[in-house]
Amino acid sequence: MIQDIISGFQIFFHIEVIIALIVGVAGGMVVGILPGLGGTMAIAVLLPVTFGMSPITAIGMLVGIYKASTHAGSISAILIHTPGTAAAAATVNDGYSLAQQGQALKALDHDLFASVTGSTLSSVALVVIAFPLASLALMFGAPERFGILLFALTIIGGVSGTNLVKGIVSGLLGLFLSTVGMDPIYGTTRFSFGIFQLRGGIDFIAMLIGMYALSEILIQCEGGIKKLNKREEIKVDLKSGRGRGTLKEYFTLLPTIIRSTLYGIGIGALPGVGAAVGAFMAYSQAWYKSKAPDLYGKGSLEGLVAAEAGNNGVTGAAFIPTLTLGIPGDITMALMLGALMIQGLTPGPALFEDNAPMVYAIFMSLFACCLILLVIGYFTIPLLTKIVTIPKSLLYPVIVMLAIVGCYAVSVRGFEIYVMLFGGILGYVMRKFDFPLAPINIAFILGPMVETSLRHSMVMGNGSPAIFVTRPIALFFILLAVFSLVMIYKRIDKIKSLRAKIQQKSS
Amino acid sequence: MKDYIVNRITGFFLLLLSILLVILVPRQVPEATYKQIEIAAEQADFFPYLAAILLGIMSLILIAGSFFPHAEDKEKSTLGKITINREMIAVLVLIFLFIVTVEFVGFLLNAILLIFILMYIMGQRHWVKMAVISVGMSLVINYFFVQAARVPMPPGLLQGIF
Repeated sequence: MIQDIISGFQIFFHIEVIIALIVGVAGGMVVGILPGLGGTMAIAVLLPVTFGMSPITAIGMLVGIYKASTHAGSISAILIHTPGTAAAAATVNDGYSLAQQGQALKALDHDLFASVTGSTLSSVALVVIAFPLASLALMFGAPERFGILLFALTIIGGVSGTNLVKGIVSGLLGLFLSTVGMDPIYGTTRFSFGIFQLRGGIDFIAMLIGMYALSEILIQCEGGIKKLNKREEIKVDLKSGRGRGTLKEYFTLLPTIIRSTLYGIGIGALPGVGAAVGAFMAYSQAWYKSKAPDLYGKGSLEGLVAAEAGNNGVTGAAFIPTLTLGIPGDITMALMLGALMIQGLTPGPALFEDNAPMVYAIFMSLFACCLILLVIGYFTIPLLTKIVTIPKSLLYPVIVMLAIVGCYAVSVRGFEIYVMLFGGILGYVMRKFDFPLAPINIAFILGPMVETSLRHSMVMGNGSPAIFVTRPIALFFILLAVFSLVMIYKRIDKIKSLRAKIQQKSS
Repeated sequence: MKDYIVNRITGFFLLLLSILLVILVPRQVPEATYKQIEIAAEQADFFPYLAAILLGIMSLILIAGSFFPHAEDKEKSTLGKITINREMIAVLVLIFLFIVTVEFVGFLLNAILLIFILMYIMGQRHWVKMAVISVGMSLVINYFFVQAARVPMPPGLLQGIF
């Protein structure tokens, strides 16, 4: 193990890796601050940029974007009352109220401290849990893998949107789309419709860029020229603020931060739930336990740090199912999974056995990102706040261009740009009809794995599905999936109101 | 339109789609001829059939659910409301034109034009900013992908210059 850690350090400690982390964190801050962009879109568009990089440089940059954008969404929430990302929706009221009371810098500082603490503790949870879980997962055969995948997809379909049936439909569409191209067992070509380029399947990067970047731009275009040229105004005066956050205040708030982070970690390790829910759950528990609950929503530092710690507590834990089982919990993790696969690393238990130094190097990059985020965040806040005022009419054309070139770079042909167009239009229509995008995309990526494990299991059982009943772990996960479906159905109203709250605040 | 009616229409559309997919499976998935496969699940068409049939079942549940709507589903909302405007069409058409012309015009010129025209259509009228951003970003993207990522971008009309 020590040897693996030393080797991991040797992989990680290179100047280009550190530069990639700094670029990733700085870029993540920029996209996180801008409402309507966010880390998922940035990772989708910039994923092809990492093709020419070494694995750890590429993953480090993407981790930097992910962690920094998750934090930075709250900066615009504090300054202009508009969260940069949905995950920062819980921060809006307290953050903006504090800014209006002349405590903008203090709010921004504690927001940063809580984010970095949450993010670091979440990374610790990943390090502690990942290796034992991966060792356990190594014992799983095809039926167990299918059980876990079924459970993950059920949860993702169930809780990603406000309608359980639509979530599952979205997942099934993703599974069907994944069957285009070669059959994963015998290599039979399916659904190519005589189009040569479809014989290799639909490229998931182009699809994801379309679904997330292009569909978002189409949604933003709906508002017309007026919305695209709206210049956000920072109504708070940063210069006349009552000073910055102090360490004394930080230590007073630390118990709330740690408690909220634990909620974030719990949520992050579950598939499909996401940072926004983590933030709201952490915020609710902090309010419940607070000695001054009346201040919540009117400028409570405690409320602000609770939401941010919960939000960022998700960032390390979300890697647990992605790295150990190869099952991404949300769409950002699906992109990370794709990035790892492009680099020749297949996430799952085998990665921990065959490439442990690389796993340690990824862990190191997570911790390094937290440190870089603290430094960049603390010293560049006044500069970064200016980004909020850039109109979308200047930004979106560049994003469209990056999306096009990203798709083109996938296989150096125009066909992937058509795939992006298809993904963009499909994503737009699905969003308009309230079908969540996470299930279709995650099911699309996991489709070959689901199909292979299901077909192998059935062959093992001589064509009988009874194999899933005779294998206790597989049965446990299948029953857990059924139980989760029932629970989600019973609590769908609660999920609906929470999602509605997040959506309302983030718009 | 009320939510439950939109859901009912969506359900019917998805049901039709699932039927179409089931019809398509035998036409688009050839049977393995080089190996005798006795177990149905081993066949390449097993999973597409399963996904299409499950999609059909879920569509029926969506349709059935629309006959027993919640109170909030009976109110009018923006569900399914698609607004198509000039800016959206411009984004899609310009991307399409980009693909069609990139080999002849070249990546760099196409990129400059696309960014500049999109900025104009999106209402930007600050000419200097538009010119600097469209040229600057295109050069940076082109340089990065060609030099650093080694992606051969079509030079088009600028063959020999860039």
